[in-house]
Amino acid sequence: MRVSSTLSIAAMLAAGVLLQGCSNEEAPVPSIEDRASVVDPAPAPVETPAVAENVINIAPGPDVQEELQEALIDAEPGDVIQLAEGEYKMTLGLSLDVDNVTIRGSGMKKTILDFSRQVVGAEGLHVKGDGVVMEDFAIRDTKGNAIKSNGADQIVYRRLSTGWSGGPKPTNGAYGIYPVSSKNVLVEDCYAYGASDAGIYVGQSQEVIVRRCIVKYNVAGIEIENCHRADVYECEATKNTGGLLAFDLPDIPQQKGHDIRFYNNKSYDNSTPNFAPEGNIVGNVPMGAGLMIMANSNVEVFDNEFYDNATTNILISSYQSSKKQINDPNYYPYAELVNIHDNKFGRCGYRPDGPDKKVLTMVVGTPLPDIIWDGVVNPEKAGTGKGKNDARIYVENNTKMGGGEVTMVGLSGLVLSKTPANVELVRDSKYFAGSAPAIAPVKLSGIK
Amino acid sequence: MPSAYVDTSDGPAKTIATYNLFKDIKRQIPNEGVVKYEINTPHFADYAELHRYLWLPVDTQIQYRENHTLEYPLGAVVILTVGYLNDINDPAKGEKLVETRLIVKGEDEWDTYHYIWNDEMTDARLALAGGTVPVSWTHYNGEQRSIDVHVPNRNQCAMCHEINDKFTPLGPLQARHLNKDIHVDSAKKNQLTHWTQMGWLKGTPDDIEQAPRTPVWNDPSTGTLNERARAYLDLNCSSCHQPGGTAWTSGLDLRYEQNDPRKFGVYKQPIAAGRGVANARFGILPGDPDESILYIRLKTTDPGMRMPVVGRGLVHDEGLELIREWIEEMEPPEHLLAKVNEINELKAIREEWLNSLNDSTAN
Repeated sequence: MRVSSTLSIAAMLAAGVLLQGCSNEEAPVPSIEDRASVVDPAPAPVETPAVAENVINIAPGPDVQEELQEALIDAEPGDVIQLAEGEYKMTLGLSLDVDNVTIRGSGMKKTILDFSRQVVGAEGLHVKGDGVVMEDFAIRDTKGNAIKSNGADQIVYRRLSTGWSGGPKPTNGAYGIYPVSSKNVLVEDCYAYGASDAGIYVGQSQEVIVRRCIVKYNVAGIEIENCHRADVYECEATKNTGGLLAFDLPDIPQQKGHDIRFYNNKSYDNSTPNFAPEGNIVGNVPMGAGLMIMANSNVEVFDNEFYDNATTNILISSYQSSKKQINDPNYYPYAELVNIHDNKFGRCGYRPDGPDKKVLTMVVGTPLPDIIWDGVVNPEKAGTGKGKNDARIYVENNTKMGGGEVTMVGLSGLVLSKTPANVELVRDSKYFAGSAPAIAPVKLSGIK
Repeated sequence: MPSAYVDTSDGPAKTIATYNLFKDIKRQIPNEGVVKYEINTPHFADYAELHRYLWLPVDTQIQYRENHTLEYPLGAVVILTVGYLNDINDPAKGEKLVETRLIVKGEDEWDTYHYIWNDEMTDARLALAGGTVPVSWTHYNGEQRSIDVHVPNRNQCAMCHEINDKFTPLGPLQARHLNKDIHVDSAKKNQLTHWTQMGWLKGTPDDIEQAPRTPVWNDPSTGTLNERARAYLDLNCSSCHQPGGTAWTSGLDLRYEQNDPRKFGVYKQPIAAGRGVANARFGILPGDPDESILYIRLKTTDPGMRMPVVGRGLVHDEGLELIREWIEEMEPPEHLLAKVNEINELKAIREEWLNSLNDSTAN
């Protein structure tokens, strides 16, 4: 089901969602109608299963906490836990540790798991089995993360809604949809809002697809971290601090994030001030970043629309520029082989935010360009001032909405320089000309 | 009464009475064949009393391995009763038993069953989905405290007890936890020596007293501040925070034997700790516990932030104090400190440059 691409400013105003102007106001809570207007889950196509599913029916009620948790413990591979319509009042986090179980609600607007009274559990639902499918329900107001899956291969998050009903607040849980350390991960047609770190976060995984999702009012809308081979496409990221992120961090088991594609997405009006706890790496994301790439290799960004991002449309950075020291000798902190082509860029850079906003404003000047690259290059690969071919940033064939030039700047390490006034910036597009081979699409296996 | 006997090959019994584990339930006196054991440093369980026992099938033995771990025979049962003394200052005033957990060794891995005691404490029923039991007790300071004990469900047990995808007991697998003096018939004896003499344990080295021994967290005669703090973190945290544990995605390794300060959190950046970070920059900032994420997460009771994730709802005041002291007195490792200073220097120069620009534009 293709998300409608005609969600206009007018429609958002009609739904009562105000455009962010000054950064000191609290963003209003998306209303139920607003959510409905962007994601209207079509009924799941009726498929006749080859073998009759064993269905365990659960409905809301005073004992539902125990009933649902027991069903999750007693489930056998192949079972379907069917959640009837209604509001489920939960106080303890749920967990599933069985392979090939499906948890299916009656629709993300109809089956709502309400965790506002949660007393135990770092998430609403924790999944550990392989081959698990979760679809058609909502998880709301958990104390920590909404749904986390860890080491759960062939996992599907489909038509789910996760969020916090009071608007974007630092007391909201960190992650909405949170698969980690898994192979073959599919997140599709989901809606994530209000997360104090990332609405959808995929960490340390391989073969990942995030598609047709809507992320709003999170600090990071969609974050791909330390992954190998991930495709993010046909997603809509708006009203976050930063819309789309691809990060690679040190000191964790899976490293050297690579082969990440962002295409056919819209990341616009990311105008919610950063409300993450300060020490988090995501606290570095400036308000108004369409796409932020930190330290990955081989990233292809194409056919996207980026506009109304107050800092910049695309920010490409090494880990060093976050000004956090690197203790891990195996870590590779550079962003390399980033291929930006055939995108549409709109207005940006009119109100820079983030820890480096002063130096950027002073030295680069406002409005900041569409694409900002920190210019920190592996010294072993530094060629004629623009890096060797496998370390390059390529920008080609992009268009500026409403006419005009797509602007870019290489900061030549400005952010780390002790003499910022003397740094030579690189603005000429000829330094970014060229292209890299297209990255192969992610192939998922074993997913239903 | 009949002797203790546990056979779960056809599934666990619906009530614990079937197994005849206790001669006197209320006073937690074990039946013949069930041996009470102790460990040097326990994990914190919201001020509950933890009564530990072992049962072995007839004619079986535990094997002591060269790497100082213990291998249990098929059918071995590790038993833990969780109870609350009515007055924590006076065991003679009786105890409310909450639950007894069994971990039974199977062919492939161990499996676990929980039994929640009835109010009369005459029997306990199987409760795989866990449950909630209200308790109340007089605390160390004389104050009355009341909490709801959340008996974990099997999946919650697995958060700590599943390592490398296999369910496992924690305490009694490592000889160093068990290597201590206990009282046998009013005489002091080494616990592992005692098991050997009972015929329960084979393969113990002759010089068992010299074998590794976990310090007692709150007994300074058994280890330095650093050793005791590391023991505390090992018993409370390392089941998840080790390679193959539930929290390995964090890269934080809190096993006692982890010697690299970077890996056990010193100047370590958080990865995906979310709200648990609470504006601090590092897992451990030497000298400053209030700016150390590890300390912050031990100090809070917020379910979205607290550590451990399951197993506690209260703050362990005494354990927290140990960790506070440990971080306060910690010397920053030279090579890690140098880098932090480098970055602080860069930030200072940047501030200076920006201020000079402001001054010049103001002129």
